[in-house]
Amino acid sequence: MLKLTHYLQRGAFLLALGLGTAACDKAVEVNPQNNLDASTGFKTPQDVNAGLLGCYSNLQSGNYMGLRYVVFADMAADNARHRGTFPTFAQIAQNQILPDNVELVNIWNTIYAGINSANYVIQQAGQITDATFDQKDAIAEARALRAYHYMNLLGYWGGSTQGYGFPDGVGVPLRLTPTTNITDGAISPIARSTEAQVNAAIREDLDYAAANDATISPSGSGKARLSKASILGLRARFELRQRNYAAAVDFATQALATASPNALEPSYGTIFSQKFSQEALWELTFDAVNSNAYAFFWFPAANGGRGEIGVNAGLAAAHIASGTGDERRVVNVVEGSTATPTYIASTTRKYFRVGTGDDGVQLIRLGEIVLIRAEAQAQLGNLADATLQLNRIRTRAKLLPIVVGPIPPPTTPPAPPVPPAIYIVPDAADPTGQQRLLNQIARDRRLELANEGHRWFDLRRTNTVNAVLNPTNNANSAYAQAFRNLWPIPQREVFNSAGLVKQNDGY
Amino acid sequence: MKKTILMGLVLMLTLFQVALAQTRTLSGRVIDQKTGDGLPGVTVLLKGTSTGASTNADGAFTITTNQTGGTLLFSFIGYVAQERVIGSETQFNVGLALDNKQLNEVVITGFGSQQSRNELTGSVATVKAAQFENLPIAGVDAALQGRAAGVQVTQNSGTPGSGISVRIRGISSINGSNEPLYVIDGLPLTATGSFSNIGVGNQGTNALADINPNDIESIEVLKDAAAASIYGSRGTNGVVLITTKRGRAGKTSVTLNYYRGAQNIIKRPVALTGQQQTEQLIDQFVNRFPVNAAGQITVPPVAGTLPWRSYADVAAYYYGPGNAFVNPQGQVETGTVGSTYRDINQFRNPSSAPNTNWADQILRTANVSNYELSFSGGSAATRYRASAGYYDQPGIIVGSGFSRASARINVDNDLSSKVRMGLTIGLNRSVSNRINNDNNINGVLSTAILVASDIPVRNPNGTYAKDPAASTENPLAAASEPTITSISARIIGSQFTEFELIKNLKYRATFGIDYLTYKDDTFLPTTTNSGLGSSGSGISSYRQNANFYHFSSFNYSKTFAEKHTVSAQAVAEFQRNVFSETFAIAQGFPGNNVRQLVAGALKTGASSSESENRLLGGFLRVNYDFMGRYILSGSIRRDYSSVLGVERRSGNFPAISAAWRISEESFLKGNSTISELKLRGSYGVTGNARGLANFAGLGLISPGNNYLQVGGLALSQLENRQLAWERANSIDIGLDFGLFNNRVTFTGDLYRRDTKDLLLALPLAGNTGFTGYSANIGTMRNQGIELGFTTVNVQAKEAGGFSWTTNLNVTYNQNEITKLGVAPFAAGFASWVQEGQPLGAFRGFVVEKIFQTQDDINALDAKAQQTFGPTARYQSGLTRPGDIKFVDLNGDGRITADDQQIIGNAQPKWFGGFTNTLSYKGFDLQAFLQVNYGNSIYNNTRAFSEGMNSVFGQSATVLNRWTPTNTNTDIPRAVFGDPNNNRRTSTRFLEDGSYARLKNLVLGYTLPVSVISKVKLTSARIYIQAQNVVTFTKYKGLDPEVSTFDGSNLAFGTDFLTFPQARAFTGGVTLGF
Repeated sequence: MLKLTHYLQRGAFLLALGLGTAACDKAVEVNPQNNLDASTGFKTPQDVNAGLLGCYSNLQSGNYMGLRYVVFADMAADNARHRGTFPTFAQIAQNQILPDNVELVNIWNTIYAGINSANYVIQQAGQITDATFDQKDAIAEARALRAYHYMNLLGYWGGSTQGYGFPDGVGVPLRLTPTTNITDGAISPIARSTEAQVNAAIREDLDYAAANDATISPSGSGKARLSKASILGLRARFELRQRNYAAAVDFATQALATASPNALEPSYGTIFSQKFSQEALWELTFDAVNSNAYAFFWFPAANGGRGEIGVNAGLAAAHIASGTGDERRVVNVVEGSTATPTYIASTTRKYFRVGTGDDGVQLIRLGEIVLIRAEAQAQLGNLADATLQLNRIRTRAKLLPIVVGPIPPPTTPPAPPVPPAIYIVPDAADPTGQQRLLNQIARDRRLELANEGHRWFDLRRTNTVNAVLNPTNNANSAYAQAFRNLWPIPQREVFNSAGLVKQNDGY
Repeated sequence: MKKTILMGLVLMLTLFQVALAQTRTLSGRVIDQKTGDGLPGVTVLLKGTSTGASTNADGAFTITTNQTGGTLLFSFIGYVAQERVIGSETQFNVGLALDNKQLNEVVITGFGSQQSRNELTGSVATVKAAQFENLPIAGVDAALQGRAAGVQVTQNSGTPGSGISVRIRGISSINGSNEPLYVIDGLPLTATGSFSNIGVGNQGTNALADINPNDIESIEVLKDAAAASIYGSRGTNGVVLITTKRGRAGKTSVTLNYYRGAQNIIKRPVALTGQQQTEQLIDQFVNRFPVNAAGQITVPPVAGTLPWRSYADVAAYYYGPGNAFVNPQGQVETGTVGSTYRDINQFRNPSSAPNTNWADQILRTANVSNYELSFSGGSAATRYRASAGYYDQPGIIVGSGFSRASARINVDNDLSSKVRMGLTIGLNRSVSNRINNDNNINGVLSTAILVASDIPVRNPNGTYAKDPAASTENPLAAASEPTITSISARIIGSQFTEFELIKNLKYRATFGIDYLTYKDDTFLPTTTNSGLGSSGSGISSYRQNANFYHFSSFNYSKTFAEKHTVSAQAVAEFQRNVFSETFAIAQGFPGNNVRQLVAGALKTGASSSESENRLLGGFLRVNYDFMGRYILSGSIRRDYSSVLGVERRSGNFPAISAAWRISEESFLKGNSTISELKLRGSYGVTGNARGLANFAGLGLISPGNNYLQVGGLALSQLENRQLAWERANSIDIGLDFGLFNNRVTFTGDLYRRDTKDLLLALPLAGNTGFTGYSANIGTMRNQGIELGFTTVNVQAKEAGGFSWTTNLNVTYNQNEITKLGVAPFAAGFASWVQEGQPLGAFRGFVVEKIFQTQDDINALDAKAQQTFGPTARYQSGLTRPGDIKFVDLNGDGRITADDQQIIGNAQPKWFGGFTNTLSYKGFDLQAFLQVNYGNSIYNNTRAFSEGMNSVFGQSATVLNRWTPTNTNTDIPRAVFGDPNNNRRTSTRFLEDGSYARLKNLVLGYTLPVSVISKVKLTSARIYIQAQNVVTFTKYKGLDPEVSTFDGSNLAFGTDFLTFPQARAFTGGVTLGF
C-alpha cells in the first residue's frame, strides 16, 4: 500500500509538471525578505551595535520606560491619578491589582525580552574577534542594561513587604544566557531566585560595566546611552534601595565625580523643556518617528490626548505645604492659573510634546544622585553633608535652605543678617534632628522626582506604603493590605512555569 | 450524456420532418415559470409524431404541421414536461416548472469536474442564485447565511462591506484560519478577510465583498472530507466553490436590473436624559463618600480633611472642568471656569443640564441601491456573458458606507469537437468609507453610547463640545470629521483549456491570477481629538496581493460492459502568493483642507515590506460505479507548503467514500412512494495551515528596533522546524431520501471531525524572553447532525398555477477542545479557552444577589477574617448595600479570582434556515427565516452603559438601579470608582443570544409576456424586499447577530459597542430585452 501511495504521488506530479519530490521541496522554498534568519546570528561589530540599539529600543516600549513602568510608579502612589477608561489602570491606581492584569503581564514580558536581548548581545559580542571591536565595551553596556532590567523587576515584584534587601526577600527568575531556540533547554521553566541572588547578579554586572564601559560621561545625545557615570548612578540607586547607605554614598559620590559637568541644571524646568540638559545622565530619547505616549496619556481629549492620567490633587497640596516660591510647582502641577496652550491644566510640564511624542524620559539624572547622597548621609548620621546636598536641590527650587541646629539669635547691624533658612532644631524627641531631616529629604524627593517613576519604590524602600496610601489618607487608593506592596506575578507566568514560578503571597 | 444524444436525435428527426409538408403554423414562447426568462433549447413535439422544434434563445418556437388537433409536448432537461391540447389556437405561451427530481442534478466538485448528485458519495450543499439574487447583501458569504445545513454564517456587525464569519461544520482551529477555502471558477482565493492596514476598532473590511453576488450562478459547499480532501491542506474548513454565470448560445439577451431602498436601525439605544445623567453622577459620590458623623462630606486626600460644600461640588470637581478652592467659609467648593456645561451650576440644578440624543446625531436613514446590466448570448461555438454593476450601500451610521463597481466577462469557445476553452475575468473597485468603531474612544457608535447626554453637540462658538472628564471623542465629530477611506481594486481572472486527448481521457489546464490592490487613506483633522495634538495626521498605505495559480488535470471516464463505470482524475496544482505593502504617515498639516500626505510637514513613518508563500500539491482520485447502485471513491493528495517548519513541509491527505443507492435495487426500483434512497459514508484527512504567518516556523531577527534614529535588531521569533499542518480526520454518514417523485426530499448527515496538531502559540514563561512560539499541540472535536428538508407542498398543475415549496435546514454542532496542551487562557473580554470546553466559552463570576443590608456584608466579612486575618473581606472593604454579592464558588469565604467558572458558550446549539417560496400567476413570494438557538452573548457594552461608576453615558435601564427605596432590582447602586467591582466579568452581562429572524421577505410580480411584448421587452419582473424584517430575541443589546472581534476564533459572540445590522426595504425591477 505504501509503495502504491508513493507511486501515485510521484505519478501525479510527473504527469503534470515533471517534478520529483526533491524538486517539490525546492519549489516551495522561500526566504524572508523583511527579517534576518536568526540562525545566522550577529557576525560583525555593526550587528552588535544594532543589537545594542535594539536593547535600548526595548526600553522605549510603552510597556516599559516608554510609559507604563514609569507612570504606574506614580499612579499607584500619590503623584498621579487615574482619570481615564482603562480598567487595568484603575486597578493599579486603586492598589487592587489582580494577577491577570494585562499591563503587568506586558511590563513583565517586555522587561524579560530586554534581558534576552542583552543576553544575546553579551553572547554574540563574545564571539566576535575583530581587532577594531571593543568587545568589553559592548558587553559592559549590555550587562549594565541587564542589571537595570533586574533592578526594575525587583522594584515591583521582588523584596519583601517591608522593603528591599531583607533576608526573606523574594526575587525573580534569573536568566543570564539568551534563549535562541526551542531545542537546547533554554525554554525550560525555571524558578524564582531569591532577592539576594538577583542582587548579586546585579552587582556583578554593574561592577563589570562600570569598569569596562569606555564612555565616561558623554554630552548631548551621547546621554541617550549608558556611560560610566550613569552606571555608577544606577549603582547608587540600587544600594540606597538595599539600605546599604555607606555604599550608596560611595557610589553617589563616584557618580558625581565621574559626571562632567556635575553641576545641577540651574533651572528645574530646563531639565524637561530641553533635551539632554546638563542635568541628564541617562535620558531615554524619542523623536517624532519613534515616539512615546506620555503626553498623549497625560493630555485631556480636548487637547489631543486621551486623558488617562492626571496630577493627583495631593501633589499640588504638597507643593503648597513645602513653601512659597517652589519653582518645581509650576512644572509638576499645571494649574488653571499657570496653564498655557502648551501646558495644559491638570498635567505636568515634564511631558508636553503631545504632537510629536518626543518627550525625553529621565532614566537617571544628577538631581537624583544628589538626593541619594543626601538621604544616605542622613541615614549614616552625616547630617552636614546631607543638608549640603539637600540644599543644592532646594536652592535650585528657590526654596529656603535647611539648617539642622539651633536658630541663631537675630543679629543687629552692622553684623551681617542671618541668612533666611528653615531650621530643624534638635529636641528631645529627635535629639540630632536626623529624623526630621530624613522626613524633609523624603518630601523634597517626592517633589523633585514627581512623575518620573520613583514614588512607589521610595514608599516601598522606606516602608511607608501603608502610611501614605491607606484609604483614609488617599481616596484614590483602596490600599488595605501589606501584601500588595509586592505586585502579583503575572498569572500567565505562573501558569506557564510548570509550578516553578511561585506567586507572591496574598494573591 | 445519453439524454443529450437522444435529444440530438429527436432534433434531427424534427428537422427532417419540417421539410416534408406545410399546412399550419403553431408558434409561441416557452419561459421558466419562476423567473419568466425565455428557455432556449426546449423540445416542442407534436405528441405521437416526430414533428417538432426546438426553442430559440428567447424561448420562441415555430412548428408547421398539416395535422389537426393533437397535443403539444414541451420537454426540457431539468424541468417538468408539459402538454397542451391544440384547439383552434396557434399561439402557445408556456411556463415550465423546475423538476424537483432533477433539481440540483449536477454538482460542481472542484478542479473542473462535476458529478450527478445521485452519484455523489460526499457531502455537498448547493445554493442557487435564485435564493439570494437581488438581496441587498455585499458579498457571497452573506448569501450563504441560513441556506445550507452545516454552514454557519455570522455577520459580525452591520458595518457596510465588513467581515462575515463562515464556519462549516464548526470551528476546528484555535490559531489558524477557520474560514473555508473560496474557489471562484477554479481559482482558489488567497485574498479574503480584511486587507486594510488601518485599525479603526475591531471591525475590518472583507475582500469577499469584491465579488458581486449577482454574478454568481451557484455556490457549492464541500463539507465532508470526501469532498474537500482533494484540496488537501486547505480543506479542513470546507471549500466553497463559486461558479459565475456564463453565456448560452442564442440571440443576445440583455438584462437590466435595478433596486433601491432604505435602511434603518432596528433598535435604537436609549440613554438617560441629561438631567437623569447629572443626577446619577451626583449619586455616585453620595454613595462613595457618605457624610461623616459630623454630617460633613470629605473626600480624602483632595483638600485634606476639609469639608466640601456639597456633593454637587464634588461631582463638578471630578467630572466637570472646574477647579476646587477653599471658600471663606472654610469649605471646599468648585468654581465655574467658563464652561457652558458640566459645571457646578449644572450639578446644583440638574434640570438645567443640556440634553443631547446622541443616537439621533449619528444615525440616519440610508439608501441602498444596485444597478446592473448584463449581455448574454453567442453562437454554438462561442458563448459569452458580460455584465457590469454598481452597488452602493451607505451605512445607517453617519460616515460609513460601501460601494462597488464591478464588471465581469465570461467567454466559452469550442475550438473543435475535442478542444474547448473558457475565460473568466472579474474586475472590481470597492470603496469603503470607514468609521472608527467598537472598542475605540473615537468610535462613532462607541462615543454615541459612552458620551453622556448632558454634553451638548457643540459649544456656543460652534466647535464640537467634548466631555471634560473623558477621553472620548464628540460622536458627531467622530462620525463626520475623519476621512478613512479604503479602495480595493481587484482582478480575478482564470482561463482553462480542455483537450480530449483520446476517447474518454481529457486534459484540462487552468491558469489564474487574483491581483488585489488595496489603498488606505486616512486623515484626522484638527477638529478631532486624535488630529488636534499633531496638527492633523494622515496615513497612506498601499497593499498588493498577487496570487498566481495553475492546475493541470487529467480526467478519465469509461463504462465497461454497461455496468461498471470507472472515472479517475489526476491533478497537480501550484500556487504562489506575493504580498507587499508601502506605508507612510505624516503630521503637521497646514490645515484640514489638503488631506493627502503631500501637505504633512512631518513624515513620521514610512516603510515597505514584501512576503511570499507557495503551495504545491497534487492528487489522484478514482471513482467506481456499479450500475448506479454501488459507488466507491478514493483519493490521495500530497501537499508542499512554504509556511511550515523545514522538516514538515509536506503531507498526505487521503480520503475514501462510498454510496449505496438503495432505490436502484430491484426491490425498490420503480417504487411509486420512495423515489430516492441513498446511504453515504466517507472518511478522510484534511489539513489547515491558513492563517499562519508566512515564516511562522523560522527563527527571526527583526529590524525596526531602532534607537537614536539608527536601525536596531532584536530576536523576534523562535524557530520550530517541526511546525506542521493541523490535520483533521473526518467521518460522515449521510442519508438522502426522496418521496413521491421527490416532492419530499430529505438529506441527513452525521459527522465527526477530529482536528489534531492544532496550531497554537505554545506559551512560554515570559522570563525566557519570548511569550511563545508556533507549535502543533492539542486536539479539537466537532460533531453534529445536519438535516435538510425540501417539500413541494403544492405543485402547480399548470403554468401560473399555485405552487408552494418549503425548505428547512437545521444543524446541531458540538464543539469541544478535547486536548489543549497549554494552560487555559483568556481572550477578548470574557472568553476563555480551556480543555473540555468549546471554543467561545465564557468565564466569569456568578451573581448571587444584591446586598440589601450592611449586617449581611459584615457577617460575611467577619467570617472571612476568621480564616484570612483582620484585613480580609468577603469582597471589598467598601462593599455596601446595593452592591452585588458574587457567589463564593470555592467556598473559602471570600471572593478571589478562583471564584470564576464557565458561564456560557458563544456557539449555538442549533442553527438553521427556513424558506418558503410561493408562486401564483405572475406573483412570487419568498420568506426566509434564520434561527440561532442556545448561544450566549457577553454584552460588554452594558459593563459601561450600566456601569454607573464613571462619567460615561448611561442607558435608561439604570433608572431602575438599587437605591434604599428601590431594592427589588437586579441593577446595583451607582458608585464612583465601583470599589466592589460590580462591573467585573460575570453572569450579570451574559445574555441569551438565541434569535429567530425573518431575514428576507421578497414579493415579486412577473408581468405577462402579452403586456411586455408590446414594449419590446422579453421579460419584466418587479419586486419588493424587506431584510431583517422582524427579530425574535431576548437579547437586550442592539442586535443579537454580533461579534465585536471581527472574525476572531477565540472571542466571538461578544458585543461591545458594535455597529448593528440594519433593517432594509428595497424595491426593484428586472427587465429583459
